[in-house]
Amino acid sequence: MADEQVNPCALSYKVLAECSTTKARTAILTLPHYEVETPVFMPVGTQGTMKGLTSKQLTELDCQIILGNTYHLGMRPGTEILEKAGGLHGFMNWKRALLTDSGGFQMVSLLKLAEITEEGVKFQSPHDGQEMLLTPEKSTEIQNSIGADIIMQLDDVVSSTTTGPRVEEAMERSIRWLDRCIGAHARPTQQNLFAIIQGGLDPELRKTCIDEMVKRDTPGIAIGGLSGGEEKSLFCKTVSLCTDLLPKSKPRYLMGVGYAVDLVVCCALGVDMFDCVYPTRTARFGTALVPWGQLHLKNKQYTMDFEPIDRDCGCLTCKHHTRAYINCLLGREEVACHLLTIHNIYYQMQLMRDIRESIKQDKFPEFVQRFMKRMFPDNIYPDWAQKALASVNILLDSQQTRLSDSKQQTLLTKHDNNTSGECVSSIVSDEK
Amino acid sequence: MNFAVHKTICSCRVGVLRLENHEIQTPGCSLYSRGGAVPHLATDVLHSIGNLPSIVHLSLQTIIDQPGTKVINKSSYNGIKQFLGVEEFISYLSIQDPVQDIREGYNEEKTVSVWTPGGRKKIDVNQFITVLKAFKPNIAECLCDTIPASGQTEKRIRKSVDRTLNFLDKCIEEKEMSKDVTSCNLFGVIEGSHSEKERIRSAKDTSQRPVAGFVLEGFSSSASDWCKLLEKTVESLPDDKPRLIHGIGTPDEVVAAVACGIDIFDSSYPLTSSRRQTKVVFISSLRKVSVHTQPLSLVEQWLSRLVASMYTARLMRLEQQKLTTIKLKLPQTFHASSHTWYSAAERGCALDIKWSRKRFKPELTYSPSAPEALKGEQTSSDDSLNQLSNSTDKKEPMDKGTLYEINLNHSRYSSDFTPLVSSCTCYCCTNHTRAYIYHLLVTKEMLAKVLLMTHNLQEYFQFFSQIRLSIEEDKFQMLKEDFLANSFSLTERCLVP
Repeated sequence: MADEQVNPCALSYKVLAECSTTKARTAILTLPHYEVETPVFMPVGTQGTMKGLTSKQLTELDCQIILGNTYHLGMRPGTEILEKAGGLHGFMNWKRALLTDSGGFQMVSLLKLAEITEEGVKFQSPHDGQEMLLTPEKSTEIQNSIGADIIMQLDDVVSSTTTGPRVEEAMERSIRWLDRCIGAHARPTQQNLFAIIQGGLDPELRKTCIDEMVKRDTPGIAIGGLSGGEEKSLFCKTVSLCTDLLPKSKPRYLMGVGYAVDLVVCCALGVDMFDCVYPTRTARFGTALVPWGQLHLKNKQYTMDFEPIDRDCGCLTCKHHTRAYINCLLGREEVACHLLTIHNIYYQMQLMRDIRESIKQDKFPEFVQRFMKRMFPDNIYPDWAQKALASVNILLDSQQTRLSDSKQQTLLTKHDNNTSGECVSSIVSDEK
Repeated sequence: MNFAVHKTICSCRVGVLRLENHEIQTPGCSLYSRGGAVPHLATDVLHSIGNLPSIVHLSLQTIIDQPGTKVINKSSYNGIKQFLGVEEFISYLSIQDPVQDIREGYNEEKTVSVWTPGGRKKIDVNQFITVLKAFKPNIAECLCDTIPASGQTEKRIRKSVDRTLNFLDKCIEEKEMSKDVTSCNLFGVIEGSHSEKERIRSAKDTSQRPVAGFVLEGFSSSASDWCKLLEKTVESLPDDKPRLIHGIGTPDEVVAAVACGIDIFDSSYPLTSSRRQTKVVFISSLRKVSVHTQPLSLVEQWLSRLVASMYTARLMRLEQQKLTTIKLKLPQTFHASSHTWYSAAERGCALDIKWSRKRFKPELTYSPSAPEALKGEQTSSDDSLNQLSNSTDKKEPMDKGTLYEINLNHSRYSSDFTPLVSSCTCYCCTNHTRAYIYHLLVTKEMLAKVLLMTHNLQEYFQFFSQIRLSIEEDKFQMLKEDFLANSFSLTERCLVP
């Protein structure tokens, strides 16, 4: 399918099966270093390592593609060393696929003093206080040195809750920056540059952005500017609008999404790739992901709980250790973080495997129903998820009548907070 | 438990400790754990390490508050091993965590204090028996009043020996009365700090009790003449029981202690070196070269300037040459003399939190242990090298670990794409480079410690198999001379005769 492209491209995207009910699809995304099965979740290994796990463990966990952060890697170890080491692949000895972000998001999120101009993102280096400028050209150059299979354009990121002319400005600038990134991209036959759709929550702006960016014919396209604290229903609408308009023959990457419920819903909306720090970060805070939500293993109730985290889980942690054991190590030994990171990544990978398998068998709607029922055993689903799934013809057997019950309403809110909080940055405050 | 010595040369011996279908070859070491986990290593990573010991070392200090006896009693587990997921090991329970310093002045007539993450905990004989009943260790160090290796008054030392004997008598008494703990092998503890007289008394009196083995406490290589003292102490112990020691861990110390007749060590040294973020290549004096590190803050200011001046391309080239020499020469020399130990001539160690806590600024310094190493290469700038070496010797006794370590936290490794130790077969060395480890260290990524631990433990465990082999093949004397000669060129330490 991708063969028809005129522009140089270093991937092929072959759809294996499409869900007959929803927009979900499963495909083989062949990248220079690995054949990735989509829909895929990509764990975030910010600085060339996945939070204490070895490359071997990541391979055994079935991670197919992982993320590196251009901003961090450009600072340390720096492009010179990365190039000498044969790119990030060689440096960290990772044989499978890699993706790097553009670095723009970190500048805006980590740095108070970032200033965005037409030229690029101006910021103060946290290391030596020097003023630096990250331009689309510079970002692409660094990413070329890192050598990931997929690289991202520098985009003008605004918070998804921003309204007014700034959103439009950011969207239009992102298009101009895409052109500059394409122009600067030195290795289009080895690395795939993805465009990032901006436009906030405004359907018109999103449409304009998609029109323009699709014309640039990049090997894949990302949906950016979401998952930043916006209302969930608007988030789903925007994702759905984008997947409707994006070409079917190219992979679609939804940035910054990683909660289980969000993954399932967005797969139904036709997204292929996801990334999020959530599973690994929450592991370090002592939280285990399970099909019915989360376990905060630091809590006292687990000190004498001799069950594995999840009886049905096949990960190393669940096979060898109990909740009580992890509870006893948490906060004292780093091994506890490693064990939880292993479990959480395994959980995410298993979820994506299940999604892919159900699409292949054309049983994805049944899978979604089962999944949602397990996550919300009272059949009281978050409204946004219910509506989003209904928009792709999956009806959850929710008891609408019970919603009037005020007790149930409270439950609903609780679930909403626990399992699909608004944004990644709120996770820290979730933790007790 | 059954212990059989099958070869003795002078005081040093090889033996087998048989326990629960395990055959533990001695001299050997246990697998250090803290809070019931081997620091930094998840189960799968741990089992990727070669020559893993059969004994896991638990310390009461780190497991008494969490998980604690209550949790284990509540579970359906038969002892703590199952809870920790280490059923495949023999468990040995010590009172204190050998990595932490002994706090003085907190032990009382009837209780011993352990400092847990939750604070001070006093343990009396009854509580100790409760612990044995709940945790069911295969081997347990008896409750003991351990005091530091130096700076103690005669009176305090005597009290320590008396109390420890008293604890032992009571524990034996209690143990006989309760069926639950009969399967536990109780090791008597030898105290006596730096007093030879008290050491011998402790050894002799403990030997008269029905103990399964001995733990030698309160030894530290920082005390002068520790070897002589250890030798005298061991002489007073019966030959048919295993002897375990804490506080002695660097390769040269281990060799010296093995020569005195010690059978089992703890493996806290590879951890403490992982903590200092150094990994070591140890090169024997026979090679006439040695690479080692010294924390900058330990050296005088002017020295740091020297270090800076030394950090030159020339020096790096020099060092590279040394390393290359080793690599090239090693196999031939090794086979020629069939001096088995040299296959382990390159030693590794690496480090962590303790380092930063002491506010050390890890920097590399080089000083050839044998000045002849530089013969034929003497240039004016080599003088500074020798100066440094000499001054280091004079000013500071070397940190015992440093001889065996390369401090990877130095920017010179930032683009060094060679493995930690090129001949090493561990996961870290076969998969990663020094540059990557350096990057992980500067970015404070957890994987740094994981990888360094993997390497260091494998090196350390292999070191013990080499010691055993050298005794079996009647080559221990050579090994010992190499090791001790090397440490001697740097520090004035007592040589075991």
